[in-house]
Amino acid sequence: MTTASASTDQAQYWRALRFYSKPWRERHGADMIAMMLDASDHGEDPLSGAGRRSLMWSGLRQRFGSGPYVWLWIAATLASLGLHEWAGYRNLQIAERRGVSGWDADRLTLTLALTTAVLFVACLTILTLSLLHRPPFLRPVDVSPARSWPGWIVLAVGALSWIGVPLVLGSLVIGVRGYRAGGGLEFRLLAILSAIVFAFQVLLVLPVVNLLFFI
Amino acid sequence: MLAGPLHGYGITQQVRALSDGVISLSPGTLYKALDRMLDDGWVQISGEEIVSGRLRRNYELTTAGRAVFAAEGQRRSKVEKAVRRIAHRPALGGSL
Repeated sequence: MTTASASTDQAQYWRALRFYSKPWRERHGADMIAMMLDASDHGEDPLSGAGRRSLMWSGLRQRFGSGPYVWLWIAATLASLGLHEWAGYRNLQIAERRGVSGWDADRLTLTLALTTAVLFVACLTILTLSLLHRPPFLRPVDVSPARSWPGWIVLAVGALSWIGVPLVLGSLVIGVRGYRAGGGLEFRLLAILSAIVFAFQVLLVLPVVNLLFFI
Repeated sequence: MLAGPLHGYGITQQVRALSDGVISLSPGTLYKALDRMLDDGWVQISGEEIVSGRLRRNYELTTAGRAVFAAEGQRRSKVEKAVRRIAHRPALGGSL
């Protein structure tokens, strides 16, 4: 193989690693490419459709699921929620002043409230998926993780309460912590359901409660 | 890596051979695991060389890594024994 064709070969492998962060590529990139070239020499195709998808997902997880990005998603989730609450409240104020329904009050604040609601759901989804990402070959743990039933009770009470947001957040934390500590799929399910109930309560239940206070 | 240092592709070959072809490690999975084990001090880089324009980096288990491997092996062996005992237990009512 000539040097030119070797570098062309390597270029497509480097492109496949573009989803990883730069520090990761600097640390493991050359080694990963050597491994894939070795596999290719043995008749395998590391850049097949499935191979590319696998590299894309593991690269994205490595890039966005790591510590600093989790904090970024937490900040983005809280910011979008805060903005949504403010826009919703403002829209309600305008509606009351003009004596019209919330849908006819002010196009700008209504659009802002709807956009931030979508943004909040997107950020919360990404945050939950990032937190629930469990790397392969877990570190062995000396004690088995706690049982999940306290988390389910907290979620049930939180879901049945009018404003059980802190409780639902608690069950979300229990689910994430339990799953990351090596717990079974019930912890994963608990975390996902908690995130859904949390979004439902914040976006739908809380505005109704606010409205009742206004009336 | 218990027998000696291995490079990336060597590790995947070993895993495939030891699992009778059942487990096939993707590059993403392997290097995520190696990255964690390097950070935890279970694995270290024993040497690097360039072969045919490719980086050949060999990994080996550290003393701490061998200790963790042995402890995890014992734990899994206990679990396996327990599962076998349960599987070979007579069915409920079978002794009646």
